[in-house]
Amino acid sequence: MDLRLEHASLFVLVLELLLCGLILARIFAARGGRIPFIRRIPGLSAIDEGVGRATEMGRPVLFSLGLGGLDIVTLQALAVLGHVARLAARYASRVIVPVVDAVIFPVTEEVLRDAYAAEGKPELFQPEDVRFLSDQQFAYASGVMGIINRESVASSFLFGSFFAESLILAEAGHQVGAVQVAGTPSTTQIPFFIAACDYTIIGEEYYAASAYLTQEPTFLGSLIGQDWGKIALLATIVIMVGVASLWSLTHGGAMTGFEEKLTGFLQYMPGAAAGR
Amino acid sequence: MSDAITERPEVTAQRRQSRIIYAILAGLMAIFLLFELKLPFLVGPQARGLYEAVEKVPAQKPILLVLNWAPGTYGENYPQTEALIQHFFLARKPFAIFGIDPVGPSLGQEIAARQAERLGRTYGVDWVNIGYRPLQLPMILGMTRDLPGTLKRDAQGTELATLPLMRGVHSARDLGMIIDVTPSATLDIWIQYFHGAVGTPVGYAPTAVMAPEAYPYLQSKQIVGMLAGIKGAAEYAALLQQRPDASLAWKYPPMRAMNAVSIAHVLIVVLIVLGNYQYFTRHRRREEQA
Amino acid sequence: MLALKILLGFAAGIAFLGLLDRFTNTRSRRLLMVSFTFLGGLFYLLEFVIPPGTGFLGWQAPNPARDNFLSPLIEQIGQVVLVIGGFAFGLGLLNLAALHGRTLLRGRPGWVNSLAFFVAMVGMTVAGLFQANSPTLRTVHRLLFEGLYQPLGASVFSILAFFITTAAYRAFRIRSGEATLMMAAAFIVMMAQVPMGMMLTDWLPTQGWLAYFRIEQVSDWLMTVLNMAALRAVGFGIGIGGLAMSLRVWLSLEKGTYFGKEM
Repeated sequence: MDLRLEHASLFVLVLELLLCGLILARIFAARGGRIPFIRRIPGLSAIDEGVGRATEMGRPVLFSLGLGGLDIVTLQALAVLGHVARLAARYASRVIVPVVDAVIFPVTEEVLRDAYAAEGKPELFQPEDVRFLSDQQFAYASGVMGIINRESVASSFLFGSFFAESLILAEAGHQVGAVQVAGTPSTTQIPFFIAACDYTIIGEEYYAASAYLTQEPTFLGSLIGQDWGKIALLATIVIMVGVASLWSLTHGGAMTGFEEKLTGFLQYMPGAAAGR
Repeated sequence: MSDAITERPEVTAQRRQSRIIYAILAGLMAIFLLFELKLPFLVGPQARGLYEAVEKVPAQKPILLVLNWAPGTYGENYPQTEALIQHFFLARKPFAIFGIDPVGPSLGQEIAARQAERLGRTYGVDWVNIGYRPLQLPMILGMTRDLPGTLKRDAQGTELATLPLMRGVHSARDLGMIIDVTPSATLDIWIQYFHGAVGTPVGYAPTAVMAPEAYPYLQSKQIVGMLAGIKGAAEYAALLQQRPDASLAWKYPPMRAMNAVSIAHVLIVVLIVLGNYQYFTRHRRREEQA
Repeated sequence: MLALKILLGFAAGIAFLGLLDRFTNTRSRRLLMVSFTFLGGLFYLLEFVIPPGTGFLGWQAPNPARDNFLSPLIEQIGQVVLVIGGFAFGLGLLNLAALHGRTLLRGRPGWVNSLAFFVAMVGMTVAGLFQANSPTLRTVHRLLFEGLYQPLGASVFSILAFFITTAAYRAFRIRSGEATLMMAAAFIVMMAQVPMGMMLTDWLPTQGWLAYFRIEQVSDWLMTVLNMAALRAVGFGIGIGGLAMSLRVWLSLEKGTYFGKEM
């Protein structure tokens, strides 16, 4: 089947509309007062504990935003950073944020400055706590390792897109005895974080972070909308597997005929001719 | 050293153990890197898939060799790149080096120039180095539509359209294949905008850490093959060795590095067993004391 | 001429930002940000969903078989993003210089590292920019790049090998049923990666049903069936999570997430 994606095909269009519709419907329902309940995520609860520990010990907190640029993953990490920074401001602790991307740098500075201001302690914000280290992966990793060791951080939060440097950062934190919470949608790095961190936020839990931490109706509704989206996808998969299995039972072979028919059908649809 | 450590006493003990482990690992790796050992070896389906896909590329369609690695991942990505470039030259498959990491193409240039001189291949005919362009979605989209128009010049400033190798290349459809040598998650770009949009075959040569992410794409045939880290490079070297025209010269022989990796794996397994033994004896002692 | 154009562009940009700052208040600034975010998102959405060949008021893409009327604008918008990114890189460099400059001037502990930063930055920039003109600088550049930068980067990456060993030693304990399963899977996959591991089941035939029990076959099954099923499930979750977040950002449904105050 030739479903190429230079422009949306009918399939993609319907799927996107369905998913967006479900998410938006739940967001507006939650805003209208139907606030859903979400389960406890231990890793996110541990964030408060980590910041508290730093305060007790009089040592800073480290927050790495990973290697991502200004994208959705990093924006989510910034949302978590906002929460951590507010907590730190409340307890008069320092948060050190090493940054890999120059575009993220001013945004991070703003998040931190606003968090301290929102807690009524703007004087506690130290501009040098947001540090652009390098845009090179391992130069950044060695820079963060240096900060972890020199500052002997009490807690280390690793949120964002991570690659091969993930274990280097997590193990360095472990070696100074920091409480570590990591969250990433980078599936290849999850095993390393599980091995070296105290808590790991896996996969989609990562996107549940802002809902969990703020308990805002918009986020909570969005989370439920996402679940509905997944149910819709799962249902599609189950139905298609069922149809394909039935087909092979009755026709004795793979469902190639169905594919051709579907392709033929799609050719009459606007947008389906894309990329051909 | 710090309050943090005194608060978690298990960390101090672990640090001591870690140092011993590091010393053993360093010693073993050094021995295996310095001395060549012949160990039994099997070529996996992923490396074979990539090798065979390269063989099938039509001679008039150049391969886009995307080098997104920097010196940090030299150990894995260098032998992969060297293996691929030697294959292209031996099999007479023209290729263009390109990168969205500033350093990758210059590292590739060094390998390609050295191998070209050794095998008597010509710049502009058998290979070109387009150089580095910053990653921007519009640039990627532009490449699929009008490759020479978007990238314009090679790394030396020569107009791409004037190079014999690029004469037949107008859009991504005219590329024989794209191979991404990378330590980061750049694979999606080639799958989404090249394979997805115009059907260009995509090969993948990641560091071993990144390889598991590619398995779904291998099964769905969105990538034709993969060289996973140093193991992949060693497998590819073994395949190249079987060629009748095999004339190979390595700066860093992948097989030797593979042996060092093997011994590290064995050490890890031994340590896991020891760690569990320690865990159980402590557990039992604690139970007896209770 | 080019330098003049750059300067003029720079001045115009600063003047524009200054005017915006002078004549807008928090409310109108928020409106501006929300509108720009919405329009930016809408552009990319429409470009993706409008079928190729669609024109607008007689305006057609040069290649209507593949593009719609918005497609040619993608490149121009990309250039704007590139320029903004360029400015930001300067900011990063300024931050580094300010941080290390303060440490150096005040003689704080670790000032030697700050000095090393300045020496490295100036040295690499000069050697990199002018290496074409001087053989000495070319040698210095090679020495810095191939002799220092490359091995330093590779050294940091190689730390991974050491850290993996200790992390595995610590993490893979048979504490529970799940931990045991994880350890068994790790053992099989690790051993199947190396010739010595493959020797463990070398005595099994390569053909027939017994071949499925060879360690490389079991490992392949673990990676391509079990691991992939889990990866896909996580992938669906991540994909939809990303979509939901993009929607919230695009429609400005998030209040004060990134910045403490309401925008």
